[in-house]
Amino acid sequence: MPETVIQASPRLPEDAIFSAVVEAGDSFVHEIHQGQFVRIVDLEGNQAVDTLFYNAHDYADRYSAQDTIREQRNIYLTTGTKLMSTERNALLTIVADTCGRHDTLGGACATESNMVRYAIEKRFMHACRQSFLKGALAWSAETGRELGKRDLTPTSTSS
Amino acid sequence: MMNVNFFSKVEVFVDGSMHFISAHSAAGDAVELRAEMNTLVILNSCQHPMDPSHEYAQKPVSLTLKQVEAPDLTTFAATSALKKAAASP
Repeated sequence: MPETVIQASPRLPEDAIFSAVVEAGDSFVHEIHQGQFVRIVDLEGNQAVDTLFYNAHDYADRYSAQDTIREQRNIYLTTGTKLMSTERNALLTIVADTCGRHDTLGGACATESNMVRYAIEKRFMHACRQSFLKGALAWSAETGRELGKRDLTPTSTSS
Repeated sequence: MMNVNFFSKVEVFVDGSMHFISAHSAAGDAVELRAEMNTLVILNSCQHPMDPSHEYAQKPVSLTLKQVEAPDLTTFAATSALKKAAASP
């Protein structure tokens, strides 16, 4: 994948079978099926969308930045990137992308890092780590499947 | 989880592409680390996954362990050590 590829999607929003708005600082969990397309839209610009992926049949098999980077020999994610799992399964492929470049090295924020970056009182505000955990636990409660803290990818704790 | 590949050099170009640099490390090259806390170390000596060589040629490495004094505040931070190194001729 030598270059950034800007690729618009031919699929139309009105054809979607499911649609949701994830509010600022909120978390969201959903199972998608083979062959479905997921579109994530940055509604206001310059938003980071921290995302984890798991093999729906085996949560121990999960998104791996290292395998994704090595398999494509490129550190940036864009159209054509296959998101690889720890067991080297291609979980999803980026088939359209009007932004052009996405990060998978920087990690996700935590309350600790937000205290350092913003203010001590931000300890109690939303952070990726807590949002991930909240989503994982809600999903676990809803489905009865085990998904919790130990299933979360390590995140940055300072920056 | 990511691992460290000591002695391996992978260059990243402006477009994000990664390039394995063969023969980067020479015999006798060494890297030394100070334990800042009690740490379990697991390592192995296999080839780098991006090494283009088709020869399955694993090589040995030498390990030594040395007890040292606790670091003082002036050398504890890697950044201050680097600044010192940069300042000295």
